[in-house]
Amino acid sequence: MSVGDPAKLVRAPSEIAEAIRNLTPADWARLCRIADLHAMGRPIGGDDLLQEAFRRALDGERKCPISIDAVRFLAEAMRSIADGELKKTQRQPVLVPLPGPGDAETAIAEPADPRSTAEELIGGEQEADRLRSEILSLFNDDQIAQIIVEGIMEDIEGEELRSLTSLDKTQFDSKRRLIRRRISKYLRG
Amino acid sequence: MTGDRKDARAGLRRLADALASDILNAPEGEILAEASEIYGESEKMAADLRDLFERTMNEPKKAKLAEARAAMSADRRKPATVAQLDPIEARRRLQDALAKDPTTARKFTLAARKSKGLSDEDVKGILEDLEELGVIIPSSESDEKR
Repeated sequence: MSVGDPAKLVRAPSEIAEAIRNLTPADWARLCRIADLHAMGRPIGGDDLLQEAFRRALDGERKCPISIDAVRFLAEAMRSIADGELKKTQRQPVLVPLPGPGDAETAIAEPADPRSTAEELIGGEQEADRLRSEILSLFNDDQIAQIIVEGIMEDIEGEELRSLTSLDKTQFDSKRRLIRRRISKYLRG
Repeated sequence: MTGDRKDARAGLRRLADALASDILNAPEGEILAEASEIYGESEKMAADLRDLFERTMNEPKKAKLAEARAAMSADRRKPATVAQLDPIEARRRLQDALAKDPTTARKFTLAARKSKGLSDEDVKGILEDLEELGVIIPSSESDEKR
């Protein structure tokens, strides 16, 4: 039973579990594809991302407002987890206490720096660059689709994006369907 | 378009967000048709993910079970306190226990009460029985209380 301020009602973990158990095959398909998309270029796989979203929902670490359906909630959780995984590569080094005055002198172990090395960062950027090129090359046979994908990557959306293609709304929607199908297939390998 | 390669990660993220939004808003029939095309057996994909969810649900229960099992096997590994007693100490403990508990003492023969005619193993056996019955405190615990 959900309790609390009606404006901030959240599902209890058991209610989340119930909602997940009642997902339809279409809901699972949505989650699987969204997991693959958010894992794209991140140091975590799609299934791991989805499992981590389940875990956080069940632990109550992420609260699901009752006004949001389980699929949207899990999709947003995966997005946030994927961002967190990426940020881990930029986190601060661990601080270790120094011996106080009068303490016996002991050798202080050099803590490992959790930040990625310059080589790892460059490697990550190169990997993202490679992935970007590969995704664009999926549409070498369809220049309009390629323009749409490149436009989205460059933060062009909506009418502005459609105007780059000279497509009407129906044609544009159809092209976007083609894009998402092709990318999902590519990500599933 | 310039294709700013320096910002490939941000570009991939925008693409993921845009396509995720399309997938969330697409009609169910369209999603199911696409799932068949992408996964072949979309029912199997759904079953695999349901299984992944159930496994995630059961992980904390499994961890608790493993903890309980570990505690039980640690308990089994505890040395029997009575078995470790030397025979003289065992006889002393038995006599002390019976002296402190006349009701129980009356249930034993006089020879047993004096620990006479009993082998060392008999004495230890009686002590173990008394510990199990709660008549006496196991020696390790009574040592800790001292």
